[in-house]
Amino acid sequence: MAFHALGILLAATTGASANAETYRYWKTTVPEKIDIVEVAKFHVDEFCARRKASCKALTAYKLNPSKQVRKHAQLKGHPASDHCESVAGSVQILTDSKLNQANFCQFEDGSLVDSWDLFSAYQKRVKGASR
Amino acid sequence: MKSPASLLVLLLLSPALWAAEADLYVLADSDFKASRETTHEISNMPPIKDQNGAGLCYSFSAATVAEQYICKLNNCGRYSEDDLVSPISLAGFSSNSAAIEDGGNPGLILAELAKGPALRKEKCAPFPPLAKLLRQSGGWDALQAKFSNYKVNQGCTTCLESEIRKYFPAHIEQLSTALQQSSFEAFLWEIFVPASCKSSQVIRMPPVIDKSHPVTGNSPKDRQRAMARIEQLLLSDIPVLTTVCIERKGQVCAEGHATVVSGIREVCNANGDCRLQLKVHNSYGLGWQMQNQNGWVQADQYLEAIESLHWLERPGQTYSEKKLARSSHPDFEVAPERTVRKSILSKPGENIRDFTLNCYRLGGTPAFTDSGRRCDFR
Repeated sequence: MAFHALGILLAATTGASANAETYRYWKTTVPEKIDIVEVAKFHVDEFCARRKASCKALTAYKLNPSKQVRKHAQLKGHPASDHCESVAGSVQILTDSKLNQANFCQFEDGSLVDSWDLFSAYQKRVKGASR
Repeated sequence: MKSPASLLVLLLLSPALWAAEADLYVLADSDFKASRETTHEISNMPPIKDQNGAGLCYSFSAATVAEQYICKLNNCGRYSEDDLVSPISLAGFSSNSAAIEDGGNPGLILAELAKGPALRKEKCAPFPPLAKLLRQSGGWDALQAKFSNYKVNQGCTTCLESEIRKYFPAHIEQLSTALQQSSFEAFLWEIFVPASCKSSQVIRMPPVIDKSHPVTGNSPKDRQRAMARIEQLLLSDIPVLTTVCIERKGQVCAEGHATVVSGIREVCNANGDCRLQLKVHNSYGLGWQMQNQNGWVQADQYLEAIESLHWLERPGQTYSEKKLARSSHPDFEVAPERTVRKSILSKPGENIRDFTLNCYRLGGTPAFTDSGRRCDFR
Protein backbone atom coordinates (compact mmCIF):
# COMPACT_ATOMS: atom_id res chain seq x y z
CA MET A 1 0.00 0.00 0.00
CA ALA A 2 1.40 3.37 -0.88
CA PHE A 3 1.03 5.03 2.47
CA HIS A 4 1.51 8.53 1.25
CA ALA A 5 2.95 10.11 -1.82
CA LEU A 6 5.61 12.35 -0.42
CA GLY A 7 8.00 11.55 2.34
CA ILE A 8 8.78 8.20 0.81
CA LEU A 9 12.40 7.35 1.08
CA LEU A 10 13.98 4.13 0.00
CA ALA A 11 14.93 2.18 3.04
CA ALA A 12 18.39 0.78 3.06
CA THR A 13 19.06 1.19 6.69
CA THR A 14 17.67 -1.96 8.22
CA GLY A 15 17.85 -5.61 7.39
CA ALA A 16 14.26 -6.06 8.46
CA SER A 17 12.97 -3.57 5.97
CA ALA A 18 15.54 -3.75 3.21
CA ASN A 19 12.89 -3.91 0.52
CA ALA A 20 10.27 -1.81 2.24
CA GLU A 21 9.48 1.82 1.82
CA THR A 22 10.23 4.17 4.64
CA TYR A 23 7.86 6.99 5.47
CA ARG A 24 9.31 9.93 7.27
CA TYR A 25 7.32 11.73 9.94
CA TRP A 26 7.94 14.30 12.59
CA LYS A 27 6.52 14.67 16.05
CA THR A 28 4.14 17.60 16.32
CA THR A 29 5.50 18.87 19.61
CA VAL A 30 9.27 18.52 19.16
CA PRO A 31 11.42 18.53 16.00
CA GLU A 32 12.19 14.83 16.08
CA LYS A 33 11.94 12.66 13.00
CA ILE A 34 10.55 9.15 13.03
CA ASP A 35 10.90 6.66 10.19
CA ILE A 36 7.99 4.31 9.64
CA VAL A 37 8.09 1.08 7.67
CA GLU A 38 5.45 -1.48 6.78
CA VAL A 39 5.66 -4.91 8.36
CA ALA A 40 2.85 -7.38 7.67
CA LYS A 41 0.34 -4.60 6.92
CA PHE A 42 1.32 -2.64 10.03
CA HIS A 43 3.05 0.69 9.73
CA VAL A 44 5.50 0.66 12.61
CA ASP A 45 8.60 2.54 13.61
CA GLU A 46 11.86 1.29 12.19
CA PHE A 47 13.22 0.11 15.52
CA CYS A 48 10.12 -2.02 16.03
CA ALA A 49 10.54 -3.50 12.55
CA ARG A 50 14.06 -4.56 13.40
CA ARG A 51 13.17 -6.45 16.56
CA LYS A 52 9.79 -7.71 15.30
CA ALA A 53 9.06 -10.52 17.79
CA SER A 54 9.62 -8.42 20.88
CA CYS A 55 7.86 -5.34 19.57
CA LYS A 56 4.57 -4.64 21.31
CA ALA A 57 3.20 -2.56 18.46
CA LEU A 58 3.13 -5.66 16.26
CA THR A 59 1.26 -7.85 18.73
CA ALA A 60 -1.08 -5.29 20.25
CA TYR A 61 -3.94 -6.25 17.92
CA LYS A 62 -4.25 -9.44 20.00
CA LEU A 63 -5.13 -7.40 23.07
CA ASN A 64 -8.75 -6.93 24.07
CA PRO A 65 -9.74 -3.36 24.86
CA SER A 66 -10.42 -2.51 28.46
CA LYS A 67 -13.88 -1.21 29.23
CA GLN A 68 -12.61 1.86 31.06
CA VAL A 69 -11.41 3.90 28.15
CA ARG A 70 -12.77 7.36 28.38
CA LYS A 71 -11.00 9.65 30.77
CA HIS A 72 -13.53 12.41 30.48
CA ALA A 73 -16.95 11.11 29.63
CA GLN A 74 -18.06 14.08 27.55
CA LEU A 75 -15.14 14.06 25.20
CA LYS A 76 -14.97 11.48 22.50
CA GLY A 77 -12.39 10.83 19.89
CA HIS A 78 -12.32 8.84 16.70
CA PRO A 79 -12.50 5.05 16.98
CA ALA A 80 -8.88 4.22 16.20
CA SER A 81 -7.66 6.78 18.69
CA ASP A 82 -10.00 5.41 21.34
CA HIS A 83 -8.99 1.84 20.60
CA CYS A 84 -5.33 2.73 21.07
CA GLU A 85 -6.03 3.95 24.57
CA SER A 86 -8.16 0.98 25.38
CA VAL A 87 -5.21 -1.36 24.83
CA ALA A 88 -2.93 0.72 27.06
CA GLY A 89 -1.30 2.67 24.27
CA SER A 90 -0.94 6.41 24.07
CA VAL A 91 -1.67 8.39 20.94
CA GLN A 92 1.08 10.26 19.13
CA ILE A 93 0.12 12.52 16.25
CA LEU A 94 2.89 12.52 13.68
CA THR A 95 3.17 14.89 10.74
CA ASP A 96 4.60 14.17 7.30
CA SER A 97 6.44 16.57 5.03
CA LYS A 98 3.12 17.81 3.58
CA LEU A 99 1.80 18.53 7.08
CA ASN A 100 -0.66 15.65 6.91
CA GLN A 101 -1.29 14.26 10.36
CA ALA A 102 -1.29 10.56 11.17
CA ASN A 103 -2.48 8.90 14.36
CA PHE A 104 0.04 6.48 15.86
CA CYS A 105 -0.30 4.34 18.94
CA GLN A 106 2.72 4.11 21.20
CA PHE A 107 3.32 1.33 23.72
CA GLU A 108 5.37 1.13 26.87
CA ASP A 109 8.36 -0.30 25.00
CA GLY A 110 8.34 2.86 22.87
CA SER A 111 7.14 1.13 19.72
CA LEU A 112 4.68 2.86 17.39
CA VAL A 113 1.99 1.52 15.08
CA ASP A 114 -0.52 3.40 12.94
CA SER A 115 -3.69 3.44 15.06
CA TRP A 116 -5.89 2.60 12.06
CA ASP A 117 -3.75 -0.45 11.20
CA LEU A 118 -4.06 -1.59 14.80
CA PHE A 119 -7.81 -0.98 14.97
CA SER A 120 -8.40 -2.67 11.64
CA ALA A 121 -6.36 -5.77 12.60
CA TYR A 122 -8.18 -5.98 15.93
CA GLN A 123 -11.55 -5.82 14.18
CA LYS A 124 -10.54 -8.53 11.72
CA ARG A 125 -9.37 -10.75 14.58
CA VAL A 126 -12.62 -10.30 16.49
CA LYS A 127 -14.76 -10.89 13.42
CA GLY A 128 -12.75 -14.01 12.58
CA ALA A 129 -13.17 -15.37 16.11
CA SER A 130 -16.92 -14.83 16.11
CA ARG A 131 -17.50 -16.84 12.93
CA MET B 1 -28.64 28.55 18.75
CA LYS B 2 -27.68 25.04 17.93
CA SER B 3 -30.10 23.25 15.70
CA PRO B 4 -30.87 19.79 17.13
CA ALA B 5 -30.77 18.25 13.69
CA SER B 6 -27.30 19.48 12.99
CA LEU B 7 -25.87 19.19 16.45
CA LEU B 8 -22.90 16.96 16.00
CA VAL B 9 -21.61 14.64 18.58
CA LEU B 10 -18.66 12.48 17.81
CA LEU B 11 -18.37 8.81 18.16
CA LEU B 12 -18.57 6.73 21.26
CA LEU B 13 -16.35 3.71 21.44
CA SER B 14 -19.26 1.46 20.72
CA PRO B 15 -18.64 -1.33 18.20
CA ALA B 16 -22.22 -1.02 16.97
CA LEU B 17 -21.84 2.70 16.43
CA TRP B 18 -18.55 2.30 14.65
CA ALA B 19 -20.12 -0.35 12.45
CA ALA B 20 -22.87 2.14 11.64
CA GLU B 21 -20.31 4.75 10.68
CA ALA B 22 -18.27 2.24 8.70
CA ASP B 23 -21.42 1.60 6.62
CA LEU B 24 -21.11 5.18 5.37
CA TYR B 25 -17.73 4.51 3.89
CA VAL B 26 -18.41 1.79 1.36
CA LEU B 27 -15.43 1.14 -0.87
CA ALA B 28 -15.40 -0.18 -4.41
CA ASP B 29 -13.99 -3.64 -5.14
CA SER B 30 -10.51 -3.68 -6.60
CA ASP B 31 -11.79 -4.46 -10.12
CA PHE B 32 -13.46 -1.04 -10.31
CA LYS B 33 -11.24 1.49 -12.02
CA ALA B 34 -11.41 5.24 -12.30
CA SER B 35 -10.38 7.24 -15.31
CA ARG B 36 -9.13 10.79 -15.56
CA GLU B 37 -12.09 11.72 -17.74
CA THR B 38 -14.61 10.72 -15.10
CA THR B 39 -12.79 12.17 -12.10
CA HIS B 40 -12.93 15.66 -10.68
CA GLU B 41 -10.88 16.36 -7.60
CA ILE B 42 -10.15 19.71 -5.97
CA SER B 43 -6.40 20.00 -6.22
CA ASN B 44 -5.44 22.46 -3.52
CA MET B 45 -6.95 20.76 -0.48
CA PRO B 46 -5.24 21.38 2.86
CA PRO B 47 -3.33 18.65 4.69
CA ILE B 48 -5.30 15.90 6.42
CA LYS B 49 -5.94 16.64 10.09
CA ASP B 50 -6.44 14.31 13.04
CA GLN B 51 -8.94 15.29 15.71
CA ASN B 52 -7.64 12.53 17.95
CA GLY B 53 -9.49 12.50 21.25
CA ALA B 54 -11.79 15.46 20.77
CA GLY B 55 -15.34 15.59 19.47
CA LEU B 56 -14.47 18.54 17.28
CA CYS B 57 -15.09 17.13 13.80
CA TYR B 58 -17.23 20.18 13.00
CA SER B 59 -14.48 22.69 13.72
CA PHE B 60 -11.76 20.58 12.07
CA SER B 61 -13.91 20.40 8.93
CA ALA B 62 -14.62 24.13 9.05
CA ALA B 63 -10.88 24.83 9.40
CA THR B 64 -10.23 22.72 6.28
CA VAL B 65 -12.82 24.63 4.27
CA ALA B 66 -11.45 28.00 5.47
CA GLU B 67 -7.86 27.05 4.70
CA GLN B 68 -8.79 25.92 1.20
CA TYR B 69 -10.72 29.13 0.53
CA ILE B 70 -7.83 31.33 1.63
CA CYS B 71 -5.31 29.21 -0.26
CA LYS B 72 -7.34 29.36 -3.47
CA LEU B 73 -7.65 33.16 -3.30
CA ASN B 74 -3.90 33.46 -2.79
CA ASN B 75 -3.07 30.92 -5.50
CA CYS B 76 -1.13 29.00 -2.92
CA GLY B 77 0.71 25.89 -3.94
CA ARG B 78 2.00 23.91 -1.05
CA TYR B 79 0.63 24.56 2.44
CA SER B 80 2.95 25.73 5.17
CA GLU B 81 2.32 25.94 8.90
CA ASP B 82 1.47 29.59 8.36
CA ASP B 83 -1.56 28.57 6.31
CA LEU B 84 -3.13 26.41 8.99
CA VAL B 85 -6.10 27.72 10.97
CA SER B 86 -6.60 26.59 14.58
CA PRO B 87 -9.61 24.25 14.67
CA ILE B 88 -10.10 24.61 18.42
CA SER B 89 -10.36 28.37 18.09
CA LEU B 90 -13.11 27.93 15.48
CA ALA B 91 -15.10 25.80 17.92
CA GLY B 92 -15.87 29.03 19.76
CA PHE B 93 -17.77 30.31 16.72
CA SER B 94 -20.17 27.43 17.02
CA SER B 95 -21.57 28.17 20.43
CA ASN B 96 -19.77 30.19 23.07
CA SER B 97 -16.40 30.72 24.61
CA ALA B 98 -16.65 27.51 26.59
CA ALA B 99 -16.91 25.37 23.54
CA ILE B 100 -14.16 22.86 24.14
CA GLU B 101 -16.71 20.12 24.17
CA ASP B 102 -18.37 17.61 21.93
CA GLY B 103 -20.72 18.66 19.25
CA GLY B 104 -21.18 21.84 17.34
CA ASN B 105 -22.68 23.31 14.24
CA PRO B 106 -20.26 23.87 11.35
CA GLY B 107 -22.84 26.09 9.62
CA LEU B 108 -22.55 28.58 12.47
CA ILE B 109 -18.77 28.59 12.12
CA LEU B 110 -18.98 29.32 8.38
CA ALA B 111 -21.50 32.09 9.08
CA GLU B 112 -19.00 33.68 11.46
CA LEU B 113 -16.25 33.32 8.87
CA ALA B 114 -18.40 35.36 6.50
CA LYS B 115 -18.12 38.27 8.93
CA GLY B 116 -14.41 38.49 8.15
CA PRO B 117 -12.91 37.74 11.54
CA ALA B 118 -9.23 37.51 12.38
CA LEU B 119 -8.55 33.79 12.53
CA ARG B 120 -6.06 32.37 14.97
CA LYS B 121 -3.44 30.22 13.31
CA GLU B 122 -2.68 26.76 14.65
CA LYS B 123 0.57 28.27 15.94
CA CYS B 124 -1.38 30.55 18.29
CA ALA B 125 -3.97 28.06 19.53
CA PRO B 126 -2.41 24.65 18.92
CA PHE B 127 -4.40 21.46 19.31
CA PRO B 128 -1.77 19.06 20.79
CA PRO B 129 -1.87 20.46 24.37
CA LEU B 130 -5.65 20.10 24.52
CA ALA B 131 -5.45 16.65 22.94
CA LYS B 132 -2.95 15.64 25.57
CA LEU B 133 -5.21 16.85 28.35
CA LEU B 134 -8.14 14.92 26.94
CA ARG B 135 -6.07 11.77 26.64
CA GLN B 136 -4.33 11.91 29.99
CA SER B 137 -5.89 9.52 32.47
CA GLY B 138 -7.55 11.66 35.11
CA GLY B 139 -5.96 14.78 33.65
CA TRP B 140 -9.19 16.68 33.11
CA ASP B 141 -10.50 15.91 36.60
CA ALA B 142 -7.19 16.78 38.27
CA LEU B 143 -7.03 20.13 36.52
CA GLN B 144 -10.66 20.85 37.30
CA ALA B 145 -10.08 20.02 40.99
CA LYS B 146 -7.09 22.37 41.16
CA PHE B 147 -9.07 25.12 39.45
CA SER B 148 -11.97 24.68 41.90
CA ASN B 149 -9.55 24.69 44.81
CA TYR B 150 -8.02 27.91 43.53
CA LYS B 151 -11.43 29.51 43.18
CA VAL B 152 -12.68 28.43 46.59
CA ASN B 153 -9.52 29.06 48.58
CA GLN B 154 -8.15 31.93 46.49
CA GLY B 155 -4.78 30.33 46.44
CA CYS B 156 -2.08 28.19 44.97
CA THR B 157 -1.65 29.61 41.51
CA THR B 158 1.55 27.64 41.24
CA CYS B 159 -0.28 24.34 41.92
CA LEU B 160 -2.61 25.14 39.08
CA GLU B 161 0.20 26.29 36.84
CA SER B 162 2.25 23.16 37.45
CA GLU B 163 -0.78 21.06 36.51
CA ILE B 164 -1.24 23.03 33.28
CA ARG B 165 2.45 22.68 32.46
CA LYS B 166 1.98 18.95 32.04
CA TYR B 167 0.15 19.78 28.84
CA PHE B 168 1.37 23.22 27.94
CA PRO B 169 5.12 23.47 28.51
CA ALA B 170 5.51 26.95 27.06
CA HIS B 171 5.05 30.14 29.08
CA ILE B 172 1.36 30.77 29.60
CA GLU B 173 0.92 34.50 29.18
CA GLN B 174 -2.82 34.16 29.39
CA LEU B 175 -2.86 32.47 32.81
CA SER B 176 -3.82 35.58 34.77
CA THR B 177 -6.75 36.26 32.44
CA ALA B 178 -7.77 32.62 32.61
CA LEU B 179 -7.80 32.65 36.39
CA GLN B 180 -10.40 35.41 36.35
CA GLN B 181 -12.90 33.14 34.62
CA SER B 182 -15.68 31.80 36.78
CA SER B 183 -16.21 28.43 35.12
CA PHE B 184 -13.68 25.69 34.45
CA GLU B 185 -14.69 25.55 30.77
CA ALA B 186 -14.11 29.29 30.36
CA PHE B 187 -10.78 28.92 32.15
CA LEU B 188 -9.75 26.15 29.75
CA TRP B 189 -10.83 28.24 26.80
CA GLU B 190 -8.59 31.10 27.88
CA ILE B 191 -5.66 28.74 28.33
CA PHE B 192 -5.97 26.89 25.04
CA VAL B 193 -7.35 29.71 22.90
CA PRO B 194 -5.57 32.94 23.88
CA ALA B 195 -7.68 36.08 23.56
CA SER B 196 -4.98 37.73 21.50
CA CYS B 197 -2.26 36.41 19.26
CA LYS B 198 0.77 38.03 17.67
CA SER B 199 -0.04 39.60 14.33
CA SER B 200 2.03 36.93 12.59
CA GLN B 201 -0.22 34.29 14.14
CA VAL B 202 -3.46 35.66 12.75
CA ILE B 203 -5.07 35.34 9.32
CA ARG B 204 -7.74 37.85 8.29
CA MET B 205 -10.62 36.02 6.64
CA PRO B 206 -11.08 37.50 3.17
CA PRO B 207 -14.55 38.46 1.91
CA VAL B 208 -16.62 35.33 1.66
CA ILE B 209 -20.21 34.17 1.70
CA ASP B 210 -21.42 31.14 3.57
CA LYS B 211 -24.11 28.98 2.04
CA SER B 212 -25.89 25.86 3.11
CA HIS B 213 -28.27 23.27 1.75
CA PRO B 214 -30.25 21.39 4.39
CA VAL B 215 -31.22 17.89 3.39
CA THR B 216 -34.47 17.64 5.27
CA GLY B 217 -36.43 15.02 3.39
CA ASN B 218 -35.65 11.36 3.00
CA SER B 219 -37.09 10.83 -0.45
CA PRO B 220 -34.81 9.78 -3.33
CA LYS B 221 -35.50 13.17 -4.89
CA ASP B 222 -34.14 14.98 -1.81
CA ARG B 223 -30.97 12.90 -1.99
CA GLN B 224 -30.64 13.48 -5.72
CA ARG B 225 -30.93 17.21 -5.23
CA ALA B 226 -28.25 17.08 -2.58
CA MET B 227 -26.08 15.07 -4.97
CA ALA B 228 -26.70 17.59 -7.73
CA ARG B 229 -25.63 20.40 -5.44
CA ILE B 230 -22.51 18.54 -4.38
CA GLU B 231 -21.59 17.85 -8.01
CA GLN B 232 -22.19 21.45 -9.01
CA LEU B 233 -20.03 22.76 -6.17
CA LEU B 234 -17.21 20.28 -6.68
CA LEU B 235 -17.08 21.02 -10.40
CA SER B 236 -16.83 24.69 -9.42
CA ASP B 237 -13.85 23.71 -7.23
CA ILE B 238 -15.72 24.44 -4.01
CA PRO B 239 -15.23 21.81 -1.28
CA VAL B 240 -18.42 20.81 0.52
CA LEU B 241 -18.63 20.43 4.28
CA THR B 242 -21.15 17.66 4.93
CA THR B 243 -22.82 16.70 8.18
CA VAL B 244 -23.89 13.09 8.32
CA CYS B 245 -26.06 11.20 10.77
CA ILE B 246 -24.66 7.99 12.15
CA GLU B 247 -27.36 7.13 14.64
CA ARG B 248 -30.91 8.38 14.53
CA LYS B 249 -33.36 8.34 17.44
CA GLY B 250 -36.75 9.09 15.99
CA GLN B 251 -36.51 12.35 14.09
CA VAL B 252 -33.38 13.48 15.90
CA CYS B 253 -29.85 12.68 14.91
CA ALA B 254 -28.26 11.33 18.10
CA GLU B 255 -24.76 10.76 16.75
CA GLY B 256 -23.25 12.59 13.86
CA HIS B 257 -20.05 13.49 12.13
CA ALA B 258 -18.76 16.21 9.83
CA THR B 259 -16.38 15.76 6.92
CA VAL B 260 -15.37 17.66 3.82
CA VAL B 261 -16.09 16.25 0.36
CA SER B 262 -13.43 17.25 -2.15
CA GLY B 263 -13.90 15.06 -5.21
CA ILE B 264 -16.36 13.14 -7.37
CA ARG B 265 -15.73 10.33 -9.84
CA GLU B 266 -17.24 7.38 -11.56
CA VAL B 267 -15.55 3.99 -11.35
CA CYS B 268 -16.44 1.06 -13.58
CA ASN B 269 -15.48 -2.61 -13.85
CA ALA B 270 -14.96 -4.70 -16.96
CA ASN B 271 -18.64 -5.73 -16.96
CA GLY B 272 -19.70 -2.14 -17.40
CA ASP B 273 -20.96 -1.91 -13.83
CA CYS B 274 -20.31 1.69 -12.72
CA ARG B 275 -20.50 3.47 -9.37
CA LEU B 276 -20.40 7.10 -8.40
CA GLN B 277 -17.94 7.95 -5.64
CA LEU B 278 -17.22 10.96 -3.45
CA LYS B 279 -13.86 11.76 -1.95
CA VAL B 280 -14.11 12.30 1.79
CA HIS B 281 -11.47 14.45 3.48
CA ASN B 282 -11.87 13.14 7.02
CA SER B 283 -10.33 14.54 10.19
CA TYR B 284 -9.40 11.00 11.22
CA GLY B 285 -5.81 11.27 10.02
CA LEU B 286 -3.81 9.89 7.14
CA GLY B 287 -4.21 6.26 8.26
CA TRP B 288 -7.98 6.47 7.78
CA GLN B 289 -7.60 7.98 4.31
CA MET B 290 -5.25 5.25 3.20
CA GLN B 291 -7.33 2.44 4.64
CA ASN B 292 -10.32 3.83 2.77
CA GLN B 293 -8.94 4.15 -0.76
CA ASN B 294 -7.74 7.66 -0.04
CA GLY B 295 -11.27 8.63 1.02
CA TRP B 296 -13.10 7.57 -2.17
CA VAL B 297 -16.40 6.12 -0.93
CA GLN B 298 -19.60 5.19 -2.71
CA ALA B 299 -21.87 8.17 -3.13
CA ASP B 300 -25.17 6.30 -2.66
CA GLN B 301 -24.50 5.14 0.89
CA TYR B 302 -22.92 8.40 1.89
CA LEU B 303 -25.85 10.40 0.57
CA GLU B 304 -28.27 8.36 2.67
CA ALA B 305 -26.73 9.79 5.82
CA ILE B 306 -26.24 13.40 4.75
CA GLU B 307 -28.03 15.96 6.90
CA SER B 308 -26.75 19.21 5.47
CA LEU B 309 -24.22 20.74 3.11
CA HIS B 310 -22.23 23.89 3.90
CA TRP B 311 -19.73 25.77 1.80
CA LEU B 312 -17.88 29.03 1.34
CA GLU B 313 -17.95 30.97 -1.90
CA ARG B 314 -16.58 34.26 -3.03
CA PRO B 315 -18.96 37.20 -3.55
CA GLY B 316 -20.36 37.04 -7.06
CA GLN B 317 -19.45 33.36 -7.43
CA THR B 318 -20.85 31.65 -10.49
CA TYR B 319 -21.15 27.89 -10.63
CA SER B 320 -19.78 25.60 -13.27
CA GLU B 321 -22.35 24.39 -15.73
CA LYS B 322 -20.31 21.33 -16.52
CA LYS B 323 -21.42 17.86 -15.51
CA LEU B 324 -19.18 15.00 -14.58
CA ALA B 325 -18.65 12.76 -17.60
CA ARG B 326 -20.14 9.40 -16.75
CA SER B 327 -21.56 6.42 -18.52
CA SER B 328 -24.41 5.11 -16.43
CA HIS B 329 -25.73 7.63 -13.97
CA PRO B 330 -28.38 10.11 -14.93
CA ASP B 331 -27.69 13.80 -14.66
CA PHE B 332 -28.97 15.15 -11.39
CA GLU B 333 -31.17 18.16 -11.43
CA VAL B 334 -30.27 21.09 -9.21
CA ALA B 335 -33.31 22.39 -7.40
CA PRO B 336 -34.01 26.04 -8.17
CA GLU B 337 -33.38 28.33 -5.23
CA ARG B 338 -36.64 29.84 -4.10
CA THR B 339 -36.78 33.38 -2.86
CA VAL B 340 -39.69 34.99 -1.14
CA ARG B 341 -38.34 38.48 -0.54
CA LYS B 342 -38.15 41.08 -3.26
CA SER B 343 -35.75 43.45 -1.63
CA ILE B 344 -34.50 44.57 1.75
CA LEU B 345 -33.00 47.89 2.71
CA SER B 346 -29.67 48.41 4.39
CA LYS B 347 -29.89 48.63 8.18
CA PRO B 348 -29.10 51.98 9.81
CA GLY B 349 -25.41 52.17 10.63
CA GLU B 350 -24.53 49.09 8.58
CA ASN B 351 -21.31 49.68 6.69
CA ILE B 352 -21.03 49.02 2.96
CA ARG B 353 -18.85 45.97 3.34
CA ASP B 354 -21.18 44.22 5.80
CA PHE B 355 -24.22 45.20 3.78
CA THR B 356 -22.72 43.89 0.54
CA LEU B 357 -21.58 40.62 2.08
CA ASN B 358 -24.88 40.03 3.86
CA CYS B 359 -26.76 40.72 0.68
CA TYR B 360 -24.69 38.23 -1.33
CA ARG B 361 -25.01 35.76 1.52
CA LEU B 362 -28.77 35.93 1.29
CA GLY B 363 -28.58 35.30 -2.43
CA GLY B 364 -29.39 38.86 -3.45
CA THR B 365 -27.75 41.58 -5.52
CA PRO B 366 -26.73 44.82 -3.82
CA ALA B 367 -28.08 48.01 -5.35
CA PHE B 368 -26.81 51.47 -4.49
CA THR B 369 -29.27 54.29 -5.19
CA ASP B 370 -29.68 57.94 -4.18
CA SER B 371 -32.23 56.89 -1.61
CA GLY B 372 -29.92 54.35 0.01
CA ARG B 373 -28.65 50.84 -0.26
CA ARG B 374 -30.94 48.00 -1.18
CA CYS B 375 -30.53 44.25 -1.58
CA ASP B 376 -32.63 42.97 -4.47
CA PHE B 377 -33.89 39.43 -4.95
CA ARG B 378 -35.22 38.00 -8.13
